[in-house]
Amino acid sequence: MNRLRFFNAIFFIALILFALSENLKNDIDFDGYFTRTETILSQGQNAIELTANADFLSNDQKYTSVVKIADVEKGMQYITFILDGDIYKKGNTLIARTNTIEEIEDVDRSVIFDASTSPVVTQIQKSFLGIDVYKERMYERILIEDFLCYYDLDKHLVRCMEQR
Amino acid sequence: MSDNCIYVSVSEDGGNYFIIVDDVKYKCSYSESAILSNMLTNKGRFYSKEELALIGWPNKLVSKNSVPVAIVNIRKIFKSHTKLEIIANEKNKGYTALTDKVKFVEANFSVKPIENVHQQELINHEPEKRLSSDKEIEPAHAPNYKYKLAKLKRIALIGLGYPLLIANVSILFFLIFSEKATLKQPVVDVVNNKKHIAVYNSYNRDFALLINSAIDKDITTLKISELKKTIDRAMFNDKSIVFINTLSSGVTVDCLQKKELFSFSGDNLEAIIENLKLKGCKI
Repeated sequence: MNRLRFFNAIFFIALILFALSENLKNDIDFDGYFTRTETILSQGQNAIELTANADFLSNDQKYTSVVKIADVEKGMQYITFILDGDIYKKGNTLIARTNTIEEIEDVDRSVIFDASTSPVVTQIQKSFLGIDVYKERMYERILIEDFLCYYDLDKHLVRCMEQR
Repeated sequence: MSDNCIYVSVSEDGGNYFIIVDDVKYKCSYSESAILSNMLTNKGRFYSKEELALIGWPNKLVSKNSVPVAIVNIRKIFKSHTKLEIIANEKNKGYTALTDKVKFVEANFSVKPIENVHQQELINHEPEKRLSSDKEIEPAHAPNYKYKLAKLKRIALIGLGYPLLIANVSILFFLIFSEKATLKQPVVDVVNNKKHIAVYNSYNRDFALLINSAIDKDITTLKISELKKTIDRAMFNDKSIVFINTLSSGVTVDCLQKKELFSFSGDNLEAIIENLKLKGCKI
């Protein structure tokens, strides 16, 4: 009987400790401003520039990102999104979750109309405003000198950002 | 009773037995009161379990646990009065009442003194009979419900204990193995040549082959966690690092070159390659 109690207690404690350790949210090992400028070159379309400026607050396990979409050839800015979310580490995996996403309003209306004619921009807009954006994302990060590269474990993509 | 001593007496009232400690009355069994009064009358004397069994349960055969249980109950009674250990148990010697601070006052009923017990022991001592006593355990003066309760408790503990243990172990192993299964380290293909390192996965091999002339034997497969070492070495040797991804709308290429990052995406592969080369990416 005592052995049964002992083993029950041991396994119960092990279960609790394991569950706690698995759900422990650790701070990320990078901090500060990071930027990425991606030029989208599509057949029969103007080149579109997508600039992301992210501020990672390691201690608060938060991030803020400003994403600008602009037409390189016309020199016009189409849309700006501001994203706020949580970012932390679980084991070696980086977890990011967007809490709020906001499209900035003070953009010239005619420009928005102009943007909507571009299928690339519409696609980006859709991806930013879709419900998928609030889903938890998991990454493996690779820190190389001043670059933060992250491997998306769902989409199997590697992207990089540069520290400023 | 104004000194620091604890005054103890035992009494019987209408078939109920009591241990009275400093005027506080505790209900107990005959055996407990008899054992205590005997021990306090002969302080310092060591009693074996068998002797105490004969004192507590005269003319009865009891289980080997009856004496320790009675001792525990007596200790419990004294615990609320003093921190002193009233009854000690010494190996190979037996039980004894230790302290002088406890004074035995009286017993208002007849308790067999230890001498009589010895005589009775000599008469009754039949080893065969004692052996059979373990089979017919008689709970002396203990109410039946206590035993029923203990039995129920035991059944409940076993009935709940084993399923709980199985559930605990199963959940723990499930969590450990499901975690291991989901955390499969992603792997990427890496082409490492004189000018650059191209990192891609099997989904975008075509584009990777477009930017370099590698043949299959030059391709190595690495886990993401192993990639950093290779990339650091390539950066040190001034090579370009090219990450190539396939999207539904084309590709995304990130090139790390001389501490600068160039990113291009889309379905216009020729334009992407041209622009990467213009930026100095060694592809």
